Amino acid sequence: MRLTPLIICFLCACLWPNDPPYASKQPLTEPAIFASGVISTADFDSHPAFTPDGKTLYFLRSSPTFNFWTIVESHFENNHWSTPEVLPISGQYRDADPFITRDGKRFYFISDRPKDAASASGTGRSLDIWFMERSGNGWAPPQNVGEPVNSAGNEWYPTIAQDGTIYFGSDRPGGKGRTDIYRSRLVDGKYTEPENLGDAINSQFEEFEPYISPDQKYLIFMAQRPDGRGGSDLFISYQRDGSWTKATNLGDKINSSGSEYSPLVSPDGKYFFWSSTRTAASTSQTKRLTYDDLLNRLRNPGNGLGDIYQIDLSALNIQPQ
Amino acid sequence: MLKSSLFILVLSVSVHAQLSEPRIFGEGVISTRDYESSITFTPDGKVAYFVKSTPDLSFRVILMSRLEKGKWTTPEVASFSGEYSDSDPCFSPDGTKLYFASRRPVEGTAPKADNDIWVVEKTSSGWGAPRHLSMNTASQETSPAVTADGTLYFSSNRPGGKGAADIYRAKLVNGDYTAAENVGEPINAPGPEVQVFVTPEDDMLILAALGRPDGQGSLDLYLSRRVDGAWSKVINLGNKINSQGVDSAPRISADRHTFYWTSTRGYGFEEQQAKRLSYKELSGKLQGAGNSLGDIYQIDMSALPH
Repeated sequence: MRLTPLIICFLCACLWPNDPPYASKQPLTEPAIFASGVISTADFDSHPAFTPDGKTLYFLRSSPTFNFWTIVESHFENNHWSTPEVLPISGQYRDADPFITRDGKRFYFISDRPKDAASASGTGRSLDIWFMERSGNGWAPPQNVGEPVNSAGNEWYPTIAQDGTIYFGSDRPGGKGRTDIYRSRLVDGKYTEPENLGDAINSQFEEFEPYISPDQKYLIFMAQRPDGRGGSDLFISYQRDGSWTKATNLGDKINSSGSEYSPLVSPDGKYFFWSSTRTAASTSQTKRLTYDDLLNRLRNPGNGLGDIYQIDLSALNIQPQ
Repeated sequence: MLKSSLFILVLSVSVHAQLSEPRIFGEGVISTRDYESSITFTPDGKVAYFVKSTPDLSFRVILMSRLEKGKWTTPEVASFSGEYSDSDPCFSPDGTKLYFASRRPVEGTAPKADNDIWVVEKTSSGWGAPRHLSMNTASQETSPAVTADGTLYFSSNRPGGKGAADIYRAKLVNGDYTAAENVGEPINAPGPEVQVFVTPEDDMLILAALGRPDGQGSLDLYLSRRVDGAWSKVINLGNKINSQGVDSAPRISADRHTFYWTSTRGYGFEEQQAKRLSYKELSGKLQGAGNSLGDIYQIDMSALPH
């Protein structure tokens, strides 16, 4: 169907002025690259986090080998996403995994920044969970979340449920192997001893990067293990009657032979965001590439470095009881 | 006027200056933000073939650039490449043949799951049709390198080796290679040996190997010399050549003065940045050579350990 100007006007009108910037005019039943050319680029883009109004996006821009991560921010202004800037506190140490609480008052992230003067000159610092309080239009200086959430090992990807329970990944001793997913409840303003989420979720392989739904009825997490499609994949588990169902792979729409990362449900609860290194590439060409064809493929989103993807949350067919 | 001729003098001196530290080769034209690797030159050094790959290395294309008026030209896709995944180009010492690895089909149109070694020969009208060599198997054959008498060295993970992948050698018989032999110890070890270069004189061999006790990171480069007919103990090329990244695809120039290799060293391996990067500085690091996708490096042969 050709879109006449009238129909286009009609479609625009369907977007209420209060719709968040990430809202889609059409149903998004297939993965779509988010904000191609500005947010998702030829560089390694991943790990999105929106403010509650959806008008500020924090995400990672990383080295191609994903060894060094920087948190950058973009603002939706005059109907488009602004050229990103490095978050004022980022750009020197490895910072990653931004998470904004649902009231917009706290910004959690992980970092290997020095905790104190003593560790500033050392090397091999571990990743800890940090947070910043909202302060005017910006954020107050980062604070380390401290023990028992942080350990001498690494912590990754904090996400927080409505009751304050923090879910995160860690390679601390005593897990099922390599990295596992833990949670720690907030009791009287203090985090309790972290609890390993157990065999339905964790295995002898890698599990980290959990996204917990606000009501804690489901957990979507990243794992790298033999029952995946290649690289790391996203899995889902439901919390029913206080226990977790055996995790299942989110399937071929979400997972690819590349790596998938950073599950997130949008603040309005309508969309699922994640990152993927999937490519449009195939192992042969229908016609011989010229040099310009080749550069065009290598220097755009879909080149195999990470991009941020969006799909209707309903496409995941999540069925908590 | 005087100033500019002085400037030219300084420039021409610097070209011949010693390269005792690694330098990115052809920055901005040959080595760029993309993943480049595996350079090989004609004997006069005026034409280069190299590889540009997707970041995940799933698709690779052989490119060609010419040295014209002291500058490398914008690359072109080699006449025989750009359709299937091709890699590891290596000239024969006389420059009349170019060997390479490819997943192109021997029959039909579907790409092969494994790489085989192919050769193209120079004709009066450019490169002839690629020819599949007979010593290929259903396993991987990659990284061809040829001596002056035509002996072909390559890497293969075929069954019966000393580890995950080994270096093999095949003699030229009636224009083809049929039987290949494992080069044996000390070149091959339990870990994988995945890339090899041999001098035309067959007296020096450089390989890329993984998982040796003295490795610096992922793939490292090692050197062996032929002493009294046998390959000597393999030595690590040291931390000028080897980095935390992948160091691979060794080549020695025809005049034996310059060593070329491919490295993924660069932005991202450092523990922290010396100072906070702005968005412009970050983009500069990500979008140029040295961004930790492969680049081609050069250094004087004299900088290699003896």
